[in-house]
Amino acid sequence: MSTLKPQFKLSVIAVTLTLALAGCDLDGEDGAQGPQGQQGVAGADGQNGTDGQNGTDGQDGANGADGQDGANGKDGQDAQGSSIPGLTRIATVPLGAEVTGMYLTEEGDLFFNAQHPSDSNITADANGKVFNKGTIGVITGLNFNQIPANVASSAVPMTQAEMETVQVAIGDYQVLAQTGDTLDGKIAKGVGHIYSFDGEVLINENHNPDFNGFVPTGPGEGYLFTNWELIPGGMSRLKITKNTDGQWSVEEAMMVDFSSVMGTGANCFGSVSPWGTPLTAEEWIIADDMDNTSSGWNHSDPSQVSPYLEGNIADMSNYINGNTGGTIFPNTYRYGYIVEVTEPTTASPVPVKHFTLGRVQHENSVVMPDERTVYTTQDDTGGVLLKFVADAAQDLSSGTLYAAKLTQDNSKEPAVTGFDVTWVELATSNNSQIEAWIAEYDNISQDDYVDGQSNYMTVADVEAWARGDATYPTVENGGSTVTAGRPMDDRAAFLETRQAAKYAGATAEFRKLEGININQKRAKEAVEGVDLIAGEVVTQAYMYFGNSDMDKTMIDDEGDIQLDDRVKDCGAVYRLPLLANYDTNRIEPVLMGSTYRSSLDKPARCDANNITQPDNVMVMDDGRILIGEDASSERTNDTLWMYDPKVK
Amino acid sequence: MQFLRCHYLLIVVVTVSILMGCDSDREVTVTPAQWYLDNNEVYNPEAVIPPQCYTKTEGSNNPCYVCHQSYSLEEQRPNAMNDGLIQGAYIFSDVGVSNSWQNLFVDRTDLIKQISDQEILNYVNEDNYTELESKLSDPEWPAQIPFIKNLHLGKEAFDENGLALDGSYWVAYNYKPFPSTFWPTNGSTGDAMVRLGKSYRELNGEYSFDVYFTNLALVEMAIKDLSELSTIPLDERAVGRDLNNDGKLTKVSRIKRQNQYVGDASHRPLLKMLFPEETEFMHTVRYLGVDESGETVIPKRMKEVRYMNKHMLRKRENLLSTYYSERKEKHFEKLPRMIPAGKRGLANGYGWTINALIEDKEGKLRPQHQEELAFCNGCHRSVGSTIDQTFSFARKVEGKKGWGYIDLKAITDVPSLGETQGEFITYLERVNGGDEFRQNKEMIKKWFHKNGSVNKVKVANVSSIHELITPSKERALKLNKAYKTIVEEQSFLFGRDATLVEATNVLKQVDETATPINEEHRYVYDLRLEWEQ
Repeated sequence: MSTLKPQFKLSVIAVTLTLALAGCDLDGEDGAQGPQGQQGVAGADGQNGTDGQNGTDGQDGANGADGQDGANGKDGQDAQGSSIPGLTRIATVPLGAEVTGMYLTEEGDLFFNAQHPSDSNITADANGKVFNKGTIGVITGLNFNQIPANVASSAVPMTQAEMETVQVAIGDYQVLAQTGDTLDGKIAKGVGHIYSFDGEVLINENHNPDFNGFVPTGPGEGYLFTNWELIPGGMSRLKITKNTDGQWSVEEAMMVDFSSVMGTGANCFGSVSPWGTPLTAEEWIIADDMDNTSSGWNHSDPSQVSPYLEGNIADMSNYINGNTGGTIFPNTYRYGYIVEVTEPTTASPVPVKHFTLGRVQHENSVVMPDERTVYTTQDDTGGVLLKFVADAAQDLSSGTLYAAKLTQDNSKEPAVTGFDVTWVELATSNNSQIEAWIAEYDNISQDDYVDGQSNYMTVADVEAWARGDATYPTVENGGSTVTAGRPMDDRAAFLETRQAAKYAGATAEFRKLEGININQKRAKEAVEGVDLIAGEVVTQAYMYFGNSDMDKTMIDDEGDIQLDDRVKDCGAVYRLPLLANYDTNRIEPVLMGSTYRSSLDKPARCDANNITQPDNVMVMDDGRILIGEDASSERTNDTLWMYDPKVK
Repeated sequence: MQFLRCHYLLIVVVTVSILMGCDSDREVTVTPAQWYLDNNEVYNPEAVIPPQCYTKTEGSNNPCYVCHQSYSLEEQRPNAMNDGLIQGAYIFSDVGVSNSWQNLFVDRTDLIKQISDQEILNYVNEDNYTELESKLSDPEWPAQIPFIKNLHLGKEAFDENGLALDGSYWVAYNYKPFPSTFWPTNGSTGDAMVRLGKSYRELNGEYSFDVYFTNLALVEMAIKDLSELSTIPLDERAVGRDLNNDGKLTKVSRIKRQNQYVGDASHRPLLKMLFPEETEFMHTVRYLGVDESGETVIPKRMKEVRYMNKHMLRKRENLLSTYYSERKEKHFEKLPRMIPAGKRGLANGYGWTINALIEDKEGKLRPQHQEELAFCNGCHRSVGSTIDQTFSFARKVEGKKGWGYIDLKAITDVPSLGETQGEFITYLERVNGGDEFRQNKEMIKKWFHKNGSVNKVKVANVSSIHELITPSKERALKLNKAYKTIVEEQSFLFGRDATLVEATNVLKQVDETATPINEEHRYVYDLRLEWEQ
């Protein structure tokens, strides 16, 4: 980073200027164009100092009176720091990237990734790394669990070099691996490269590292599991050790073999179970939507179902069959699950698909300290929030699935509106029973498609289940060819979970419900009274989730969620109090995005100094949370924030 | 100033205060494009949706097919956009639903009248390029774009093989202009040049004509997916490879596709439909020159200099990752992510950076603003029909004959790949007009029967496409004048199409439930051409 320091200083000056000149929320993040520096002398905007938390930088807004020279608004650069007390900009990722894979270990190592940075980035960081590929990395130089409360925000990148690299508020960012790295021959086919089951055909070179999960094997060493999100997707495992200088070395590297579970797709976020197994989440691989099941999966003209289906199926088929000459058509019901990577530290980790947790576009699941209760989010429009309670601890293969039913407070303003939650029981089952149901769809292909019929479950099938019908509807009555007329069972709850939840009366109205997380120690101390957090008596712990886009089904004035449309793409972070038995009955906003400015101000549409499209959340031991953004077009550099919910 | 505090609430009022002072006439309601540029405000976050996409298709007039295509997955094209279904459905973001190209709705009749014919002819014949040499060689200038000496003179800047005379290794090629935006009758003339990276031009660090033109031919075979090709005579001994596979090293004028490039790039593989790393393209867009006989020629004055640089070669499997992200973002109706690349311009996300100059108010070429560049990404990023995100090289006159400055008179209306009827005549039939908006009355008058059908006999009898797609002198001058008024307004953000009167066949608001093109009017199209016919 040292090479960039002079630019940091420049940035600070320029920002001060902007505040003095514009004195308002003009700041459009497009600093690259606007160095109208000569007016900079005005810098004396002392009154900006209100957001003391961030020290150096003024808060926007209060100082409008300064604005005499405003005609130079071209500067339009963001102020540093944040406009919200307790919110600190910890890092920004390079142009084109979103922040993924935040994972904070017991020893205080904070991993995070730059997912799909722009291939046009050419600036090397202090270690010579260029961020033009998917990048896995870690903050070095401090125990992040002990990060000072008064750490100053990192600057909003202003120069092209700052925009093209990872900028951190504290410590240094070390790149551990990038797409295609062979790591001195430790992984000959390249990190993030997805091959067919037979290892013969390269299917994709994946720039989308997502979830990170660290499984320690001793002090300063362990296995870092990383999701690679694409269809098909995958997971890498790096054995890493921390050297005495705080830098990490990669000792071994591999891609986890998922062929025993017919592969995996769109591996998005995840978590590590309390018993130390990574849980990877299959997300955007289900060709359903808020009104339809996956019934169109084998449509003879896939473009009638979705623009992407044909390519997805082709790539999945290629992935399964490789050069074997096989012609297996992928069974849609084998994808869309939480996959537990068991035996994670052995030479060949064993993936297990937990059909029991339901089939949706999973962002991730998080297991409670009781090792039985699991909460799960669906990242889609018209999505659901799920709860699962396993029959036995550390065994997610059998249990009962529930979906949340929300009752909105008597208000619509997102910042002050919460929801009461009750849980609608969907069904109880186990992996082997569900897999037997799934296997009934194994031999279906496009040849079986008949216009107007479906081989997969239909909405009519799900409705019949929800009504409690004794048998499945016939094909004539809209039922699947596989189950037509047969006795009813509970497969709908596990194979078409969203529709099942909806017809069972739960709320299927979230929009981009993202990462959900807890701090295991805080949760256990609060719920079970075990003292695990030194220097604090935790009486109430929370589970947090990001909601990256408050749009569509959340603001449509229909159903259970009817918020005002003020926030939209700026998103929000919500929390749920953990009660006895790790139950919860309430969702409440904890950090709300700014008012979305539809007047099309550049990426400041959501205010550069507040969250934009929060994607994932991590909870620290002291209760502060880390928030990673997938801000897309609304921001120039996506940001990793730290927020202290206790700050008033 | 007060207006800055509230600008995002009341842009219109703000503008008025800027223009007229705070006590100004409040009846002025149009915010000039310059205001957005000056203030780094995004006027149209969906600048990647070109104006053509808002044409009133009425279910049957289909100009969409030339961009939006899906190809068999077995072809293993690196372009995995597969957006052919867009011919049949509007899939716009909330912002994209409104047509932001307000210049389409301006009647320029009166503005045009204020410019005399001589005035505009003088203007278009002025050289606005040469003065760029010092700017473009200045590393501090905000746009990094190479300079080609005498490019304003067109053909005279290149030798008989198309190689630039200034030693810059740019090579001009002749290509069939993409329908129909790039037809002179719809506003502009243009040209295109390619340059390969140093290792593709040299053998053992020394420039070699034979190596360079062998590699250019190999690139053409890779892009068009050909197995052999005619070439300018090449010496296999100088190249060090048996290019026609006859077992001897001789002078050859036809070569076979190789697995690797030659010269210092001999370790680099040919990848189907992908340009090698460091490939550059230059494309000038110019006014309509008119010679003594009234024919359209390429004049000196450039409207734009457009430049693409392939900064990273990414193979098909690698690009899939970006297509996935693109699809996912579209699926969730996110606005397109525009990645600034500083002086290098704007990234297109698929291995290329894009940069461009455009005329300032005085007609001098200036760097384009990021949002103006975003317009480039509309065609050079995520449409299905392109090959490696580009158009013209795949449409180059095949082999030897295609090297040299653009010459429309040397090109006939050859069919697109897989077709038998001429590509342009087919386009006229499918669009029911001579441009995407069916408002080019001259084209309709010239090439259509009164009953609305294409006069096939007349079209078939043209000696070259020059006759087919160039305007009359009268129209050329009007189009030049119309565009010049856009230059004076600097209103490119509102659209660069030189339209004479208010467009009527254009939607201001898209009804997404409507079907743009009914099924029987959707077409499969390959932008490559059947040169052999």
